[in-house]
Amino acid sequence: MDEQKWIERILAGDTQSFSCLVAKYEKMAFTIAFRILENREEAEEAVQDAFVRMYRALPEFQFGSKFSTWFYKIVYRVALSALRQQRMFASYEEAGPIDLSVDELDSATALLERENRKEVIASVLKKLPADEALLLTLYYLEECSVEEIRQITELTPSNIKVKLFRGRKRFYETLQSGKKFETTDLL
Amino acid sequence: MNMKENEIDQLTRGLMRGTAEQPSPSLNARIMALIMQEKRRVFKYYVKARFTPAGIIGSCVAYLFIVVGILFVAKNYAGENAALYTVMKSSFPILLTAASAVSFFFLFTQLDNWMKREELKRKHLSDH
Repeated sequence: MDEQKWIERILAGDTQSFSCLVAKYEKMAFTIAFRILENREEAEEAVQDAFVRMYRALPEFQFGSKFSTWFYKIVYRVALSALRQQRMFASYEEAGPIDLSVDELDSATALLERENRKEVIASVLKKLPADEALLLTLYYLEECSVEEIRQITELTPSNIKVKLFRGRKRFYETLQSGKKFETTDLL
Repeated sequence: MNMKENEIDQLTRGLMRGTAEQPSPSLNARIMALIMQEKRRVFKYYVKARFTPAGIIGSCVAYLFIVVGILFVAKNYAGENAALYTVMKSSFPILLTAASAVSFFFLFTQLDNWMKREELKRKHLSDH
């Protein structure tokens, strides 16, 4: 069953259909909140709040945009207001794409096959600035387009692109430095 | 290793796959408990505020028409029972006053409910 039917049922009073929405979106909502707040308990509280706000606002949702984009925007706003640092995404400088080195790409490719890839990536993302980790998550994990990210975060497309390039560069750098650290440990 | 932009994107997607954070297993239940609370609150309010302003005024007018209609019918068929007509005629002003009082009480309570509902709606919208 698609989201539109779930939403119609929820609006008709069938609360059980809401649990389908919760099951589908709680993980990604939590990931977004966690990237911003960097604290599990606070992120869970933000997610609860976001779901209640979404339930209240559901009669106004017009399917003009993707439901996920609309909901992630609520999560993003709730998490930001929980953080009470509205300026987290405010400053940025114009910059061109940053090239990745051959070593960085080699070590990343090798990591693809490793069993502990998820743990390594999760720890790398924790080391990145919150805004870059969030944009990488939305773009590469949730596969949102730049336009969808713009709707969620209200950043300009050029700002999003710059942050994505920077975030990706930092992501590979951190990944490679982590690998070097691992190798030193083994020696 | 030389990679094109879309290849780097693919590699990054591959690395990121399955790295969503896992919330605690009780989160779903906690959210649903909050939603049930919210539903009860909204339902209570909905029952209280079923009427729109047009509906409220319409009900008030309809109620008065029914009262007048009953009195009119009673007057037309009172020939067979003159005593009943006399009693009704004498108590007509009291009946009409009571009917109007009930009608206006209904009108103002419902208008009050409607205003509260609008205020709550505005508050909810401003929260978003």
